[in-house]
Amino acid sequence: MKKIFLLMIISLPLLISACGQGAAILKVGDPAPDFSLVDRQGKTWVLSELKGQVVFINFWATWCPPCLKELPSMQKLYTSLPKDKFKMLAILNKDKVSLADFVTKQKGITMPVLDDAQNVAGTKYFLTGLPESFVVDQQGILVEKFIGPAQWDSPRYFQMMMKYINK
Amino acid sequence: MDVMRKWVQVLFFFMTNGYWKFPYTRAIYKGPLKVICSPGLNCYSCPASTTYCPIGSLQQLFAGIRISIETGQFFIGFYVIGTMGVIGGFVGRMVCGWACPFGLFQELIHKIPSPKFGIWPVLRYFKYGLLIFMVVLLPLFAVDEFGTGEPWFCKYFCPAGTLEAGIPMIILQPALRMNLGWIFALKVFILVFFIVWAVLSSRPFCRTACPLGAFYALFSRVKLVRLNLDLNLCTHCQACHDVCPMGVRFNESPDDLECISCLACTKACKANAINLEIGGIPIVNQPKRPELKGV
Amino acid sequence: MKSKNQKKKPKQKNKIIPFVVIIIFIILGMIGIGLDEPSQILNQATQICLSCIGIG
Repeated sequence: MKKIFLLMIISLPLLISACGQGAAILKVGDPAPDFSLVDRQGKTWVLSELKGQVVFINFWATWCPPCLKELPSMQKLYTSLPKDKFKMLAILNKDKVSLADFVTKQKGITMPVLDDAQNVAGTKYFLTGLPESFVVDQQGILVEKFIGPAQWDSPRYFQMMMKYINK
Repeated sequence: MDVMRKWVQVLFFFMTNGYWKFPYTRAIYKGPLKVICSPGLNCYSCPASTTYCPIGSLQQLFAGIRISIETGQFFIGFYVIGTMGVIGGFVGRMVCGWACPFGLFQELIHKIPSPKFGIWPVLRYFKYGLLIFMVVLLPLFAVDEFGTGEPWFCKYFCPAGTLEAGIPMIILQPALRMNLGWIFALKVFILVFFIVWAVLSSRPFCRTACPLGAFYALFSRVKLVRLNLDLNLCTHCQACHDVCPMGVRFNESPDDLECISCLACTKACKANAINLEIGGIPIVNQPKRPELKGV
Repeated sequence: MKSKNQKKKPKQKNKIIPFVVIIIFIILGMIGIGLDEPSQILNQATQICLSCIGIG
């Protein structure tokens, strides 16, 4: 009896690591999965229609403190880049839009906030957690993937976006 | 009885951690079952977890309480507290002994041979401090300029979260390793500390640090299912002292806040003075033992 | 006779109090359901906030 329990506990991490090979996951270099979502102004955004532009996609929710923390720096990156060549889409992942409207107003966020209450885009992008951000290049290829928050207005990210814009 | 308890513990382990597709999906379970409360401390960011953790949920709701109130949606945490209270009112800390996966984990590693030590009783009050400060007050009041708090207990302390969610997620998603900082190092240290302590002492996390156990402990005198001491039968032989995994001296304090109703003492009591009762009606009567050795 | 009464009283109290406590918390839970809390909990529980568990 004791041995069975001990064996179960010991084998658990092994199972996790061993079965993890060849899993469903979205990698840099894959074509960015398409989605069609409506923003808070009622405009429909279809990713495949944005080819020729660099698209920054951020998944967030209002109950996620680090997501809220990185929003202002995203806003700064958004305003410092050319609007006709760069789009930033903040996708609200399974959350209430009324809460999001309050937060974006509070923080002065002007980028489009797309409602993904059903987690449609989130599922396609195999989200690990929140926040999670992706960069899609002009050809519609996923070129960057960030799990977790970042200081988006730092020169590093500005230069990174410029590199993809000027490619 | 102890074998039955083990099976109940295993059953609850798999009921609250029943999603085993995660090695393929590399993500947590996202289905509707997560609206159900896990009775024990079981991280809902654990890939296998099928229920929500009341302590985690409560902190998340408290951290966002200002935003929710200002938008006219009163997510105060009544549903979570209500569920916890119903569980507490029925069985109280019996959850710790029968349904908590982290309690089971500590019990199992305590079987590793080593010198065994007791725990200084004063340390038991630490968990009430954790409940009050890290689960309630800090998420409610330590807020940024926009009024958003943080889940302090989950973020800075919870070893169950590190074991069930932090480490598995890092194995599943190697990209996460870049993000690890001092907070994760602190949490791993706390986990290792409690694992080592659990080998040396019985259930140290439950006894000193579990905020959920602290909450359920408040129901020790008012819960429906409880252990009853028959003072007419008790011989004060102290047989119940040594067997108690929580360090309770049952014959001295039968309504002890630490009692997890694991029934170890009912088995040890040769006078059959301790019985499990539901609403005052005894349900487990130990068979009378003719030999009364060592009384 | 006297001792019997004394014995009975606390026992009856023991039988009622748990139900009172349970009913109070059921009402509290119902208020929570009325406020649509479960949907918010479901949203939060089905997505990880990595920083909230100490990663990142």
